Amino acid sequence: MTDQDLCIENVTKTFGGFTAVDDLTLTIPDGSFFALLGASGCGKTTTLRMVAGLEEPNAGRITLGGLDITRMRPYKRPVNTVFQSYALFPHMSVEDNVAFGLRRKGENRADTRRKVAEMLDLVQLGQYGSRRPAQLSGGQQQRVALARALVNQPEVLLLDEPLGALDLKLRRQMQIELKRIQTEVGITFVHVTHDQEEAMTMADTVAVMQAGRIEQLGAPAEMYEFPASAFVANFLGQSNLIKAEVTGQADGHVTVDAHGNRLAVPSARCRVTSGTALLGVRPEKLHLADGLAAVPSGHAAVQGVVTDASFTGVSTQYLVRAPWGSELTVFVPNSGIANPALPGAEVAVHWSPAHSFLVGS
Amino acid sequence: MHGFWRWIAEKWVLLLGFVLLAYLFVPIAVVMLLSFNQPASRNTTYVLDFATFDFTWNNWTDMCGAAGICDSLMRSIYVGLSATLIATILGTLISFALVRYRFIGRGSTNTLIFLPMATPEIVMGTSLLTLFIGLQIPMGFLTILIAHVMFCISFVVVTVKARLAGLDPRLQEAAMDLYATPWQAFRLVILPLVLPGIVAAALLAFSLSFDDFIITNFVTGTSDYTTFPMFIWGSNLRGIPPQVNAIATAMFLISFAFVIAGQLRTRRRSARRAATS
Repeated sequence: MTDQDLCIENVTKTFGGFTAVDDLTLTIPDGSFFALLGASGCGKTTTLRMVAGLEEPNAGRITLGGLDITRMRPYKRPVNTVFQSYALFPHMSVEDNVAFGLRRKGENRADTRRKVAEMLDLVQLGQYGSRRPAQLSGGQQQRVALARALVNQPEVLLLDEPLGALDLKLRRQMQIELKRIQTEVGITFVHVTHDQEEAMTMADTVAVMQAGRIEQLGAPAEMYEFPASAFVANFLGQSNLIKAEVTGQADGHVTVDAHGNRLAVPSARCRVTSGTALLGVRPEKLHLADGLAAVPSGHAAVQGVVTDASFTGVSTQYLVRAPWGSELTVFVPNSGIANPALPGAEVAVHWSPAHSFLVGS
Repeated sequence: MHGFWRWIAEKWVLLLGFVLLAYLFVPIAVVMLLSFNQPASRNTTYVLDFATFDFTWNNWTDMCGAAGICDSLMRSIYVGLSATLIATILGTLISFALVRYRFIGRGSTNTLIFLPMATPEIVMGTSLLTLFIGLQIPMGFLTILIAHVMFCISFVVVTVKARLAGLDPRLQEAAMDLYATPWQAFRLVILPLVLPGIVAAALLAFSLSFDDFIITNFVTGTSDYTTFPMFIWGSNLRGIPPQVNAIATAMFLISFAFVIAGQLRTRRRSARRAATS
């Protein structure tokens, strides 16, 4: 544990009868790029606002580098926020917006001017210092909001859906830009988003939140490959989840019965080892074969009928109806060799058991 | 003939516009014109007859010439400024409370604040008079001031509230996040953004107070605290002094100057904005 870790300990926040954050405990290491991911209303923004001091927890403790900041006034915290709506001061120039925090802290004029200029250069707005926010585009306003927060060199920078208002192309560009800036300044970034792709692209660590609690926390790849629950499996990317009954354990595998198909999952990839469970496989890890005879040995397989094929350029997405009625999604990369299966074709869907996982239902 | 009707058909909206403008401005033009007339007697102050029009600067050079006219004007300005100051401060605070905070009675306050605007002045005047008599408050400056503050507050609240409602509440949070104390956040961010609304409310309050007659007439009682509108009303019986026209014209020109200044400011700002973008 380094000095400036942000620790949230058993924090609960209720609004009337609604529990927004429920006994949350979380440590965000110093210098990391941390994403809080979840659907709207999951408590991610409330968590952020409690760290900023804009909401006070009902219970629990928030510490920053060992210092208890739970009830510290927002203007006394070494924390700055990039708001979703940017909240730029419309009556001030871009320079005055960026200088606002430094002036409140009583920095001298020369230092303020130098730091503001440096920060505007960092966000590539050096030419725009004398403009008013209303004269800038959405992407430029977003960068002013970032500069205004970063110039104060906070211990932690909080970002509340900062890219939500930008169009897709600009959003991709700003994701890379934000990541670059974070690496450059080395400040802890806590990024709240509902966009799973954004969270995975940018963050070192992602926490998936639901109903005020953390469902799973970890590195993006780790969570994607081995989700802790059906919720995470569906929220981070797409998953095929097949209802299955655990029948036994043997040779480092858990065997299950899924609608009459006997399938195996490596024990290390099982979150549950008894009762009813869901067997999951990501669509890009499923393969198509003409029939069960063509399935490579060692692969698990089920039969089905292609109901839909849509070509998306990099891949073709197939929907295959399994004998028990539900549909499996299969992504076949467009590597230019396989001849496409047509809707109505009888196929076998197969996968390596090492690519499947078992979660509680 | 055909061409004439076509011309009418094409220009009738424009013509209608001119007629409407004339309808609005002719009475003001008459007052302006009469301010340069020396009436034969006080009973003909409002007779505009070009045959007997007697051009003079007297009404302008000797504005206070008629007995009591400038005393009443000063009283109206004094009452107007006092009522504006109090009503603007109170009204602004009420607006902040109504927009920013949730409290018991907020809904009913929001509705009741409109009541003085909706009440006929004659009703408000009589009920205030009854109240002041019942409380044994001596009539005069104090009762006039209380009455004016009361009916001005509603207008201030409505005006400032509209401005505040359009303000992103995150601005205050952003300021506090950037190390501003609540007072600094108010002074540096909120106040400058709400100020145009407060100024507009103050101007409105002043003009409402300055020309109020009905309520003032009731709450002056038998005191000799005669405001300008009451002076005019009173002298109407004996004949209105011609200086009234000069003062009315001056008042119109002052408010007109305010409007022009405001327009120029907006135009200059948008020109600057256009130049930099």
